[in-house]
Formats: sequence, C-alpha cells, structure tokens
Amino acid sequence: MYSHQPAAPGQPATREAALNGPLDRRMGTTDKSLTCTTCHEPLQTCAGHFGYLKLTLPVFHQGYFKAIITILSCICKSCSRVLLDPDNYSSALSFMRRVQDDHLRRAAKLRAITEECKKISVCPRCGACNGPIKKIPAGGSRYLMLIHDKFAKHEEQKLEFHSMLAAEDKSFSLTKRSQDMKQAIGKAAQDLDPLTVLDMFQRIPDEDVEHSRPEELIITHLPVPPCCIRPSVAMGVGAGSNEDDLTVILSEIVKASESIQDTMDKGGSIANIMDCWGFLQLKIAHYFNSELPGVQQQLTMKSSGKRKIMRGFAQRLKGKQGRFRGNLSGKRVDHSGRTVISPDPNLHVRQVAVPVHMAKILTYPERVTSHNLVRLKKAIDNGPDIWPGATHILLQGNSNDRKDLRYYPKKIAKNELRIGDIVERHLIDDDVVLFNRQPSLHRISIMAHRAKVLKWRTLRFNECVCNPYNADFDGDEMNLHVPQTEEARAEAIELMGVVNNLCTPKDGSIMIAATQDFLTGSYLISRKNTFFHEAQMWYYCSFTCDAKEDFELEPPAIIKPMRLWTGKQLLSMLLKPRKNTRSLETDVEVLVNTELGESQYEKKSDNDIDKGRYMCPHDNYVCFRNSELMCGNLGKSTLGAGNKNSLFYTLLRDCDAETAADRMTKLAKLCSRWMGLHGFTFGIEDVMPTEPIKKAKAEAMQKVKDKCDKLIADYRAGKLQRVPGCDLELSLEQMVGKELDDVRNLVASAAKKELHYDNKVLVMALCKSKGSNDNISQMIGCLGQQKLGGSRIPNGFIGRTLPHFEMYAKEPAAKGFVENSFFTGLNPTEFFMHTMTGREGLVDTAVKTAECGYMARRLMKSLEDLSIHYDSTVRNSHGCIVQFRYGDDGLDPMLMEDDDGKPINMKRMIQRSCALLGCYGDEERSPANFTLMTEEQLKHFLDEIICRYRRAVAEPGSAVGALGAQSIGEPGTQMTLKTFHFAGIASMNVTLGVPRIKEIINASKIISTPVVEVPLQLDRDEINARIIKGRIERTTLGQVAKYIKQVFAPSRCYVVVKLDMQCVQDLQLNLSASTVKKAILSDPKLKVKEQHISSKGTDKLLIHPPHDGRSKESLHFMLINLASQLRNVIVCGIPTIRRAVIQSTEVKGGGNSYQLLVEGTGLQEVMATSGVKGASAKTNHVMEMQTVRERRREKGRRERRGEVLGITRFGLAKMKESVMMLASFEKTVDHLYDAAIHGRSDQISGVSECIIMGTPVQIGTGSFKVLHQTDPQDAVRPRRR
Amino acid sequence: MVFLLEDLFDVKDIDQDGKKFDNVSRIQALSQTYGLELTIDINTEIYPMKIFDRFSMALSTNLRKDGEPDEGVYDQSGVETFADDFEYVMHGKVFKQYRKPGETEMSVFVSFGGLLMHLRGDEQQLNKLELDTKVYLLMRKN
Repeated sequence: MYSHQPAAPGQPATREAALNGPLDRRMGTTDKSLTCTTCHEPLQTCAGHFGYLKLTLPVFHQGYFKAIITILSCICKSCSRVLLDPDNYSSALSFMRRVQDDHLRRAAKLRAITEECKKISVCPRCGACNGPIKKIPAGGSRYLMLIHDKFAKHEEQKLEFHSMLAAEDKSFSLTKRSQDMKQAIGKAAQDLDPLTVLDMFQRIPDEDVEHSRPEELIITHLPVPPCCIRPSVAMGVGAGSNEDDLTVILSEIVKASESIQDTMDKGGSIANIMDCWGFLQLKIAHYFNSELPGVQQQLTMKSSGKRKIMRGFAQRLKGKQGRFRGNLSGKRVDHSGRTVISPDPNLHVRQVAVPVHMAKILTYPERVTSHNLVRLKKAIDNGPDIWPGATHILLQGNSNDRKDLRYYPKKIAKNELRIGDIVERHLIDDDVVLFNRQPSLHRISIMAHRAKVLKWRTLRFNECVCNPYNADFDGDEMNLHVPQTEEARAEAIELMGVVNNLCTPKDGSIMIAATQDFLTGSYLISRKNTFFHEAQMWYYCSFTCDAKEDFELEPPAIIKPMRLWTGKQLLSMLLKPRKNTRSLETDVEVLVNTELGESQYEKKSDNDIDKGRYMCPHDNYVCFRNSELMCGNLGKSTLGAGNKNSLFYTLLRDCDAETAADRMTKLAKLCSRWMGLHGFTFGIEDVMPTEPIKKAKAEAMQKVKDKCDKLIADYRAGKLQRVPGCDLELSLEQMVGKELDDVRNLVASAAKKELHYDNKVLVMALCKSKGSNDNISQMIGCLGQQKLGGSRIPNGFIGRTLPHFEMYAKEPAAKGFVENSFFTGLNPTEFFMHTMTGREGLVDTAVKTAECGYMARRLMKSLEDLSIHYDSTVRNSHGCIVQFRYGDDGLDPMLMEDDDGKPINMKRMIQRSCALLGCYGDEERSPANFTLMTEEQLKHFLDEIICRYRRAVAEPGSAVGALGAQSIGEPGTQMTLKTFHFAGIASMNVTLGVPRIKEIINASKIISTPVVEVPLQLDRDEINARIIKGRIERTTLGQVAKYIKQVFAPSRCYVVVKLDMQCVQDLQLNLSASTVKKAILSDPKLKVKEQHISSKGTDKLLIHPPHDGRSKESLHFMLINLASQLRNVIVCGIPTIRRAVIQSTEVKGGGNSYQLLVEGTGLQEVMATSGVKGASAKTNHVMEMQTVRERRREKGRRERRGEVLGITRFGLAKMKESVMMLASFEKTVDHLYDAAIHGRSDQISGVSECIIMGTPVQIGTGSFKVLHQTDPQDAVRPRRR
Repeated sequence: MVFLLEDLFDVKDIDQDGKKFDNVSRIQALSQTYGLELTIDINTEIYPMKIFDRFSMALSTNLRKDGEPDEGVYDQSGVETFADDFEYVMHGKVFKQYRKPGETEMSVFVSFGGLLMHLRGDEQQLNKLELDTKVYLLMRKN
C-alpha cells in the first residue's frame, strides 16, 4: 500500500486533481486520458493505490464504539490493567487462549468477563476508583461521546474529591457558584474523549492483549480508497466534474480536520475546539455509515435544507442491491437472453424454440474436429449475420487471438481453420440451453432444454412444461442461458434436463404433464360417443407422430354394420403404436398397467365390482391393461400433474422418462390438432341456464331464504339455539353462513346434471382442465355469499353494510349474498360486495408473496449447506452431522412411488406383475395375499420391488437442505387467502398454513393457538375425562359462585360469596369453601389476609375488605373493587389454560376413547395433573416443548447445540460460523465489524461463501475429488484456462 | 366353428342410469338358456335397440371361416368371415374376471374399445373367456 497524505482541495485553475487532495493522481485515476502517477499505468490496468489521511485529533470509529465501551468497562481507567483479580484474570486468559475456534463460547466468556468487571469498582492492581461508562446522547455537535462516572459507587471519595477541589480553589469556592453549577458538580464525571481513551488503550500492557492492540479501534489515520472505487463523472469540457459521495465526504473530513488544526493554532477556546472535533467525529461516522441514528438528522440540521442522502461504505455493502447480495452472491451474466414466451404444442417437451434473432447473438464456442469441420466452415462462411453462422474464431483455442468475423476476411478464416481451433458459432438446433422463469422458487424453475431455432420473436415451449415454471402466456418473460463448455452442457442436460425432471423433488409426483387443452382433448377423444371411420383413424394416428411412425392398427371396435374405431382405441395406439413397441431408453416393452378413479369417481362404488368401478355409469374409472385403454374417460387425474397412479407417472416408472416425455408430446400434438378440427368454442350459450336449472336455482334460493328468515326471526326473538362457545350473534352468523354456503353447491350440482354433455363449461369442469364447480355455478347459477375475512360482509355504515338496506338488516342480500350470476348480471349492491371480496384477494396476494419470499430466503440461508455425504449422514459444510440418515430412511422423496411417501406402490406392482406374466385368475390381491400368484409372477414382483427400493435411495451429494427449504418455500407462495389458514378440530381452531409455518420457523415464544393434546390414563371413561377436564381448565370464582354480594351491615361491611354446589358437582370439581379461601389468599392481586376471611358452612365465605385507618381508598370503593376482583379469582385449574375440550374417538372394539384437547400453554402443569398420561402429552408449541425438556425434531429446524433456534437473523447467527454467509444474509455491516474485532476467519466451505468467492461448492457434483496424483510430466495440459 | 358362448338375450332395460349420449346406450339383457346377466354398451345410432328386443349373441376368438389364426391386427384382406352372418359385430378384449371366493357365479368384463360388456353368470359358461383374450362379439336380432 502506497501512502500519500491528501490535504484540503484548493481550486486549481487547470482543473487538475490537486496534489494531496482526495483525487490525488497518485491514488489512481478515473479519467481515460490520464495515467496513475504511482505506477504510470492507464485506467485499464491500474487498480489504484490507497492513500491515508492523518487526522488532527483521533476519533472513535462508530462501528467499534460498542467494543470500545466494552474494553473501557473491563480496564481500570487509571492504570489500564484488566479489572479482574489475579486468579480470575489468569483463568480467563487461559480460557481465551485455549478456546480459539468456538466463537460462540468465546463471545459468551467475554460477556461474562465484562459483567464481572462491571461489578468491580476498585482496581485490584492500583486501587483506583472505577465506575460505569456512560454514553452521552447525541445532540448538537455531540456525537459518540463517553463519560466515566468514576465515583458512582464511592460517595465518600467523591466528597473527598470535592473538598480537594474546594481546597485548591479557595477564592472561587464551588459552593459559592450558582445553583446550576452546584447540581452539575454532583454529576461530575471523567470525560472520555477519543484522545484520553487512546492514551488509556496504549497503556494497556501487551500481556493483557491477545491478538491485536485495542488502540487500533480508534481512528488516528483514515485510509483513503483509490479513486477508481469512487469515480468522478466529468460534466463536459471545462465544466468540472460530479464527485462520488465518498469523495465529497472525504473532502469534508479533510476540511473538518483542518479547521481543528486552525482553531488550535489560533488559540481558539476549548468549547470551540470541542465543537470542531464533534463535527469531525460526525463526518467520519457519516463516511462509514450514513444511516446511523443521529447522523442523518444532524447533517440535515447543519445544512438546514434538503440534502440528498449520501451513501457511506455501509450503504454500498448492505441490502438487496448492495455489494454482498447484488454483486457477490448474484451477478449479471453473458450468453443469456430474455423475451416473451408463448406456447407451441408442436414442440417436444424437452425443446424450447429460440428466435433466430436470439440465436445469432447467443454463441457456443465449439472446438473444431474432423467431424464438424465442414459444418463450422459453412458457419464461418455465413458469418455473423446469417444463421447458422459464427461470430468469432479462436485459432488453436488461444483466447488472445480472437478474430471477429465481422471484420476478419471470411475466406482467410475458412482456409485457416484447423482441427483444434475454436469457433464461436450461433446457437443451433439441439444445443443445450438453460431456461428459467422468476421467481425461481424451486430447482425446477430452471431446467435444461434443447434449443430449436425458429423464426418470429418469442421463446416457445410445450405447454406441458408450464407447471414447474408456473408460467402462463399473458405476457410472461423468461430467461435463456447458454452453457459454454462441454462439461457444463453434459452436466446440465443430465441433471437439469426437462425429461429427467418430470417429477417434483418435493414429493415425487409428476409435475410436467398434460394441461388445459390437452386434458379437454383427451377427455373428448376418450368419451364413449367418439367414433372414427377408417380414414379418420389413420389421419388421427398420424397426428401423434407427424406421420413419421408405423402403426399396426388393431381391428375396429365395431366391425359391423360399419367399421368404427373408438377414441379409446386411438389413445391406445398413441401409447403403443405397434405390437412390440419398445421404450426409448430402457428398451422394455411398453406395457402400462394402472387403474384409478377419475376426479368425479365416487369412491363408495369401489366395492361393487358388478355395477361400480369398470361399469361406472359415468365412465369415471380408468383402467389401462397392457397399454390398452379398457375403460374410463380420461381427465386430469390420469393425464395431469400430481397423481401417482397417473398414466405418465406409470410410464415414467415402468418404462423410462424418455418414453413418458415422448407420449406426452404425442398427446399434446394429437389433442391440439384434433381440437383444431373438432372445434371447442366457448360462447354465451354455454353459460345460459336452461329451464330446469332456473327452476332448481329458484327452489334452492327459496328454501335458503325461508331458512334464513326463520333463523333471523329466532335471533330477533332471542330463541336461537346457541352454538357451543359462541354468543347469539355469532351463532346466527354461523348458522346462516352454513345455509348460504350450500346454495352454490346445490346450484352447481343441478347445473351439472342438466347441462348437455357437449356443454363446454361442463366438459372443462369434468376433466378438470379449467374451471371448478364454483365457476360453473358462478357463471350459470348464482355468485353466492361474498366473504370478507372469513365472515359475511361487515357493516361499513352504522348498523348496515350499505345505505340501500334497512338498519340492522341481517338477511342474506344485506350481508353480501349475491343471488345473480355473471350471466344475469349483478345489481349495484351485489356488485359492490363483489368488489370488496375481489379487493381482499388482491391485497392478500400482495402481502403474502412478500411474506413468503422472506420466509423462503431465511429457510434457504439456514439449510443451504446441508448435503448427504458418502457415509449416508446429512452434514453441513463444516462436517457437523445433522442427521445420521436422511429422513431416517435414506430415501429420496422424489423417488417415492406411493402416495403416502412409501417407496413402492405394492398394489400396483402386484397388478403389474400379474398383467405382465400370464393371466392366472386376476382376483383382488393385497400385499398380504400372494396365494393367487404364480411362482413366476411372485419372482418378478420381488425382483422388481427390491430393485426399485434400491433405486429410491437418495444419492450422496444431494443438496437435501436446499431441497427441503424449497419444498417448504414453494408451496407457501401458493397458499394465499387467510381463510385457508385455519381449521377446526373438535370446535378448536388451529392456525395452519403460512402463519403456522412462520411460527415454527421463527421459534416464536408466543403462538396464536397453542393446543395441548392430553391422553388420559383411563381413556374409556367419560366421567373420568370430565373430572380431569375440570382439574385442568381454569375456573374462576365467578363461574362457580351462586352469588357474590356486598353486605352493608350496621357494624361492618363485607362481601358474601356463596358457591353453587350443584354447578360444582356438575363440573366434577373438588371445591369447597376452604379451598376457595386458599385460592383467594394466594391470589397476588388481592391484598386479603387470613384474618379477613371467614367461612360459613361448606359453601359460604365472608370476606372483609382489608380496610384500616391508613387506607386512602374509601371503604365503599374498596368493597366494590373487592367484589369484582373476587369474580376473577382462579379457584381451580391451571391459570394459563383457557379452555379444554373432550375429544371422543370411536374405537374398533366398540365404545369411545376420550382424550382432552387443551387450549393454552402450561404443558408441565398438565403433565403433572393426576389421571393424565403425562409422558405422552403433546403440545404444538415448540418452545414450550423445549422448556419441558422433551426434545422433538421439527422439520426445518436444528438443535445442534441442544437449543431450539428460530430461523431468524438471531438464530442464524448462532448456528452459522461463516461471517461471509451471515453478512450476505442480514445485518451485513454489523457482522463484518464483529468479525474484524474478534479476528474471525472463514473456511469458505458453505454455499454462500463459495458463491461469493467464486469457488465451486462442495455439494452435488462438487462433493468429491479425484485423489489420484499424477506425475506433473504425465499430466495432460488442460484444454481451457 | 365353436363359439365361446352363444345364447338368446332379451333386452330388459336401456340406459338404466339415465341417457348419457345420443349415440351410445347401455343395454341390460338376460339370456334365455343360461340365465346370464348382460350389460353392454351399444352404438344405437347404427344399430338401434328397443326394450323387449330379442337378439342372439355369440362370442368368438376368430372370425375367419377358413380357420386361419387371427393376428389381432386390422385385416383388410376381405376374406369371408362369420361376421357376414350377423348384423352387429364388435371386437374387444377380456380385461377382468371376478369371482367371489366360494361362489359358482362369476363376472367377466370385456372392453370393445371402451364400449364395455359385463357378463355375469355361471362359471361353467363363462370360464372359457380367458383373461386378455381378444374376442369378437356377434349379434343378430331374431
């Protein structure tokens, strides 16, 4: 580092950077025409040189201010030795020397030492007084100032000091001074200005200091960064330049420092100097961090006017756009493109159509071999402007010899081209490209496609791939990246290829599958009334494969009176065009066997094999037998995403991914082309209600209206039956709400029954391609109840929702029930209510996305470095074991074939083995019943399941942490609308959804709905359950008292409490006057003493107010108070528990089993209650569970140090060692200062650190290394840099 | 040629669960000799059926009169077949047999490209319809 001393800038006439100024050319330059005067290099090659600024007086560094205070608290302010007594001193020193790595323990020890030192008021070495260090609040020119209250604990010494002062100062004795001064003397304290502190720190002996000197925390010389990091922008010739904020502040600092020197030289007053010093302090603080409290306001005060906010160093680093998150963790890249997307069902699912314009800009450096020589020569010939051409050539791969084909003669280039050269050619068909859509919430938001260069201007892909990107075509844009090496391409296509990622890693269900029109098309084709004659059949078959494949057409389903094939036969042909069609990769025969109920299938008909299932009158049961569609109308369950029995999933698992993707593409082609011929236009006539629907709607409406009217009448008369736990109003709302919710469903089912089978809405709803029951009824029937925050529309006016209604109206229409449909049109009040709910939805989505995004980011930061190692343990980047086996079974959730997370779907595997091998009586088989299988079948079955189990084991290197974080974060964004986030169990509401995940992740101390599940010892006895419920539930005196009366007798006044013994009996409480007396006495709020209470009989208590002559309060008020307080005295139960509910579940052997659900905290008390199975009581409150020392592992949280840490900035700081990772998360600057003070080092092993440093991450394909060492002479020269 | 099954049926009911489509109906029928219960989907547009109709139905694995084996592929040669003797002929596959343990009655399911046939009756009559065999259904009204 070169050092120069810049001085205040003058105004040189030549507009050259002043020597010793903040832009001194010895520190480099930002002007292209100038050179650095230190190294004489131009801007491009000179990295700049540091200068320094010598300050007139030292100042505190605001980032180290806390550390300075800590050190000051620990040392004697007189002799600068550590305040600890020699024993403690040596043990503390040896601890710090011994424990070097564990920064958490070091920090804890430091805290303990500091606390210890603060208690010591007399220095054990020199005997001087020491008191607390105090900050002086900022104001005026005061900023970062400290005082030492030396005599805080030594009053006599203070007096001594005062008398000493008085003795010194006889003529102008302190006592004679003004009243103000007198008070001030009482507060007299040692002023700790930076100079004093610097002196103290310098006097600390080296033996007390560990790795660096504390005086370094105080700024005496300020480093001045090179000019290139704070470039000046020229404003035109001779017009001067605009300077960077840092330069401006630096010049201000120089000025401030100079002015101190000036004042001192001229002999200015002390106050004057202190003022200047304060200003310098402020400016330097501003230089480091302009957002500090105090700095901003003081600066605006000083300049008294609007001032743009200057960016200090801290501002450059922190935040989303800051250096860490904006430039180090994520960077802008070359070889990428972005444009609008559009659909193209004619593309293979793995393809992406790249516009020619883009293909001409995106290039790939291809090395010339004998195989591609001709093609590349042709590309060179085409040049940079004709696709497929080339833009540059690198002779023999030498990047210094890069020839631009725009200028380099093509002929020479072509003739020069040798094997080993590199040609940067245009993107051509089948190049590997990465395709991505933001927000990238999970790993399949970026996948590798094969390029297909086409004309026009959009990026196009098969709609089947919309799902993982969550893309639609309403103007979405997507990004395209071109990997630049063969290794990168190979890795990308293998690991990120679309075909290899048909399933979501979250639960393994298929995510790339038919959508929208493909579902509608397949539904229509597979319907029973679809028949094709011969020409049609051949034509449609050729649709599937662009007429590039051979077919062995099976005989028509109807041979006579005319030859007709059915749509189902067409789909079977698509699946298996020839008798012995083989799968594309694994080369097994394509034999699909699966059975499933479609979405409208009624599960209850499953057992009636003769009438239900296959013979389902609505053809909703789908059966594929050896790749032939036997029955069933295909819809979303069979062809769409998310089902593990679906056709494509079965294809994927039983054949291979390539075949599944191929059939998907074929289906897309067939459906879009067939639909193009068949036609599927949605028009007004599709939503016109027919007479029967109108009638059904009117009936339903009338019925509901009558019911509601009756309920409202009952409510008005006060006769309404209350719902448990609700008041009259709430009961009405609940009951009316239930009635009104049903209307829409009633109308929908009527509409479904009456609509023609070719009605477009109906078709789309039945195959689930678009629209639901609700949409049908909203369009055709009625819009139904509009809800705001889960209840009917609240009153916006006094006593009513809108002025169109009567006051206190409760009828459906007045509270937001919309009787009209979108077809009939809404009336004004209905429309208004409808907009209210519409807005709620919009607001909610906006709020939730931000919340979820932050949650996902935190989750990712905390789990990013977890991966499976070769010993099958899950470890973080430091090698700490988090789990011995991933998920305790080592299986990859992506490869689970059964719906409930089991690796193998036994039922389907048996069916498959039986269908594949022979046809011995195909009875209902279960995994427990193999008797009806042949030996061959059984063997096949066993081999298959063992093979599949082995395949399902998660691979070493898998980034399981990131996977987990994504699997929680991504679904979170899908969960909008608050109303979905609550669910009741046994009339108890439990928080669910995003708010609940947030509670768990934050490790919140207070959660919104804590519930304790309490199993009972005698769980079959209801009476017992009631008794225990009584013991647990909080019961106040008011609840069990018959009356609480104030008695005014002539002699005395008192309160009488009489217990309602009948009620006590009913509630199964163990209460009597004596127990109540005890409860009253132990209540902390009541000041009633033993002598004030007397019991009368077993159920009566007399309580006298604790009134005596001294009380300020009047006896009357005291009595009233007492009476009301007594009502709230808790007589039995656990105070923290609001409510307990008995939950009964039916047991198989008959009878019920009971357990309690308890609302509130207090697990420990509940467990200790007799009659409770304490050891198996559960709570949903994580932090409480921890305090009760029941360790339980929650997903997404770690207890490495035996402590549950929330995934927040506080918890993360405790679980992560890497400073760089923490700095890139939150509180960037604080972590950096902290690391500097404690001399922390970073291993660069985690994901964030590696990304920041640009090194490969030790996860996935980076988790292993080749240990073989080669002789340097044998080593092949690497191909690329 | 021996048929797998041959009998006279009476149509008992049409579209028991309501009419779904204009051109396809589900027909319930009962056989006269063996008492077989038959449920079958028929394209009534080209082969209308009425309630109380009586028809004879036969099932066969091969239609060719010359006894050449059937290859299960659409045959365009136009050779003489049994189909010439019937009015309505379908081609399909037996895909499910079901028999409750201990009962002599069994159910057989045949799919003619999605047009389903369900036969329920005595084991003796139906066990010739083996699983996964391709069958031809031949129908003629009497």
